[in-house]
Amino acid sequence: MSLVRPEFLLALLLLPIFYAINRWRFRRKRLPVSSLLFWRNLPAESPSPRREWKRRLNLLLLLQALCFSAFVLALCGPVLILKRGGSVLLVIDRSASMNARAKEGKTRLQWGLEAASRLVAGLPPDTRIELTALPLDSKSVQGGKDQVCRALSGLEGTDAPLGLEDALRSVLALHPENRNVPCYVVTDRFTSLRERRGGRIHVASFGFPARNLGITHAGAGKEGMVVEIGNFSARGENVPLRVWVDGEESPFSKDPLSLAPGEKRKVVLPIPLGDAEEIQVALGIQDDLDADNQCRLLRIPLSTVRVYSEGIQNPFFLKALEAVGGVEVVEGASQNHSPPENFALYFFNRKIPEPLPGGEVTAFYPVEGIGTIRVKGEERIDGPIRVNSPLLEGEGFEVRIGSLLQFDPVIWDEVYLRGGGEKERVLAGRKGRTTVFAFRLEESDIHFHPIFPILFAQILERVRGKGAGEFASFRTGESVKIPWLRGKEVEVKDPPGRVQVHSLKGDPFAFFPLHRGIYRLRSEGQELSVSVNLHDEEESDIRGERQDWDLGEIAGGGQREEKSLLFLCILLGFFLLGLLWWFEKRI
Amino acid sequence: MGMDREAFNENFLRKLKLLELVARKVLKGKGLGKNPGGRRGGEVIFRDYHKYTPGEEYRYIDWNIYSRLERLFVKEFSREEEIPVAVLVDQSRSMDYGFPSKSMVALRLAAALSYIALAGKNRLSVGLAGGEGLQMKGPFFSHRAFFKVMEFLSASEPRGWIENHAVLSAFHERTRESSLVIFISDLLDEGEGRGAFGLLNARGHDLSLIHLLCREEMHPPFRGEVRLEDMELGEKGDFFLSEDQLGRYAERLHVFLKGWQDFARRHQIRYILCRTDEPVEELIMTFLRRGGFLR
Repeated sequence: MSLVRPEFLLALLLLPIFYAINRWRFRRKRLPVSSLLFWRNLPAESPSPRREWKRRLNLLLLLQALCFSAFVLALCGPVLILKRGGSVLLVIDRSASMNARAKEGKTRLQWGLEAASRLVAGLPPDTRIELTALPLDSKSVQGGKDQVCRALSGLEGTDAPLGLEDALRSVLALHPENRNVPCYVVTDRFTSLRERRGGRIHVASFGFPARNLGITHAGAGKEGMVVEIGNFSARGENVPLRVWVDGEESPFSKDPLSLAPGEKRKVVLPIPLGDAEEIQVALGIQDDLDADNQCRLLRIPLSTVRVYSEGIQNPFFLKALEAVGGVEVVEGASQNHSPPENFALYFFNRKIPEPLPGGEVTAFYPVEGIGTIRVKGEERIDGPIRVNSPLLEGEGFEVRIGSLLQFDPVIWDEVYLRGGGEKERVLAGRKGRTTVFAFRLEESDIHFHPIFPILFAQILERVRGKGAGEFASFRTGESVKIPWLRGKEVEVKDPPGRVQVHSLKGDPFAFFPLHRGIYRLRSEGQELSVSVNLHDEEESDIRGERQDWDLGEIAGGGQREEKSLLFLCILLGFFLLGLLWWFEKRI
Repeated sequence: MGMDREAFNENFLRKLKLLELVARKVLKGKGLGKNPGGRRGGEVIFRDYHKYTPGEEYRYIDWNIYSRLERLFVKEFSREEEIPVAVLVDQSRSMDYGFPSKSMVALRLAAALSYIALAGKNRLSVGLAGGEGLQMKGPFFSHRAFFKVMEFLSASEPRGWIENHAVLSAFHERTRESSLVIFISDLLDEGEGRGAFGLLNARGHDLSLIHLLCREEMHPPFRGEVRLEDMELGEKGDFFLSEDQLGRYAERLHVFLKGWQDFARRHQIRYILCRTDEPVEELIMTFLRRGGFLR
């Protein structure tokens, strides 16, 4: 049984009042009588009526307490939970981020397993439980409570990422017969897959919020290298600014900066970029940009800008291009022009041009699952290929080579981007020193992924200011922001084990993660863990909102049916009231 | 304490005026009244016949009877004369009990009886027996003196304790002549009270007892743990009153009342038990008339 409004139970504290009232009512009374003539020497009764009297008084008090309690219980809204056996799906996320610490020195996985064990223990004995541990080498156990409890105790964390929603869909798809079976998911991420046909998915999850922090542009300027800082959401003191050129750290890295929240600053460093292929700029604690899976700057040469278009009809783009100026728009590019040598913007309208610029691509493949690259009618690459896009590192953007639009007869050195929606509105690739972005327009409207208008605007901005440098640079990494660590000294231990102390006064603590793994933070004795994986936003704590463990959602478990006991309690209360009235008359 | 004078309104007094006190004994009065006097002769009332004995006055022989029965009977006559009436009220502390209190009802009864006595042209004395002994007032002869009686009664308050024996002895000492004595009391005296009643009756007084008890005494309303305090003697006692104990109390009370009834019958004393929750008018008009106190 459970109570809808348990706070009314506090009314039971009034019970001693009944005791006090009874004591007062049935105290020894002093009564004057005209004479004691007939009272004197009354024979003693056996058994003692005094004992019987006290017994009756106790019974009266008990009845009063029961009657009052029945009405209090009715106020609390009692509900009878009829548990039934049946089936339960239990999904445990044991991906890398679950290795982060949650509470009391336990990792999220340990915490979640304990919660799951409690859930299993609370299920009716005859419940059939199907336990699935994700990801990858998913482990599935079917059986009773004891069997599942043993399996739970044997579960360990993995280092693998997890696409939770896909995995969940797969799990649920495996059990179409269990439409009404409750599914309990223990994970550290937010999933939108909470409702499904016939049942609800109960999720216990948590995470940390993240805000963008960092460098909006880095590139060559007249005086040297120009770094623009913006969207710095925290107040920072002694924030290092470090620069790598072609993989080597420049000795001209800037002395630590003091930054105000939201401050935009342009920093010029005496670094000749020359023919440097790649520059990397780090603000904050980043110190190892050579490793994989780190946030990078995208460098775009801007020596030549041409826009190839097959008929621009969208006024936004026309206006934007007009504002940019200096952009050469080539109509009918697909028919008449060679592949761009440096930089090109392609605007495709309505239909896909074929052949594409260059004329050597024989086919354009719509995106349908895993695709194939064909060059001159020959299959060059087939099968799923995952490319980590430096442009969108941290966004978890997956590029499939097989479905990439090929518009160059040469296999691209590096494919940056393909995606942006259901029909791949944005394409990007690089060959040598040339980066190509292709934007496809749909009719007269533009549907970009939220990040792409910014990206596009930045591109145009770079294009307009092309005289200022040779490259357009973009960085899309995310910073970790922990609002409740405001103005405190925080010790951050990154996955390689290096420790740095940050002291950001007045603003929420934020740091820029560079490594995939678990960052451990310590501040004033409080310990936090932050899981970082810039390639898989779901695997990382840097996105989404913080959600503490909500074990209430998975408490109870099993299929349950609730029945209100309000009427019964009121009935019982009135019955006891009647009994009390009857008893009072006879006491 | 006092007494509610408004109860004695004109209507009630008119009703009282129609009543007469009934004496079972022939009492000798001094003046004319409405009661047949102890002295023979007079002009007023035929009283009885008796057989002629030689030497008696011829003129009182009823010749009509002689003509029918051929036997001589002599008529007897009585003068209507006043009789001495004494209304004694117990005003001990125990009378201050019940609702309405026994004292209040007793004073009302006494006032009503006094009015009846005065209206019957009797010689009335009123006595209050309380902590200060027996205080007598009177004699009063006319109904005009009723207000003095009321004043006397109204000024009294129940206090102290009395012994019936001492009260009645004191009354007898003060009153030489035989009287119609009406004693209103709860009779909760544990002394030698009953002996004194018998003695008074034996000395020629026509004694009537109005035994007043309140409802709380007849049916005590308490249960459970109580500490009872005797109002008159100040004695205290802790009791646990169960239904059984109250049954025993009722039994004792019954024996007590039966004892008084038997005693009164044995000594030819008029006795009536009255409850204070009955209206005084009802007590006068119904109970006392039915008990032969009034007619």
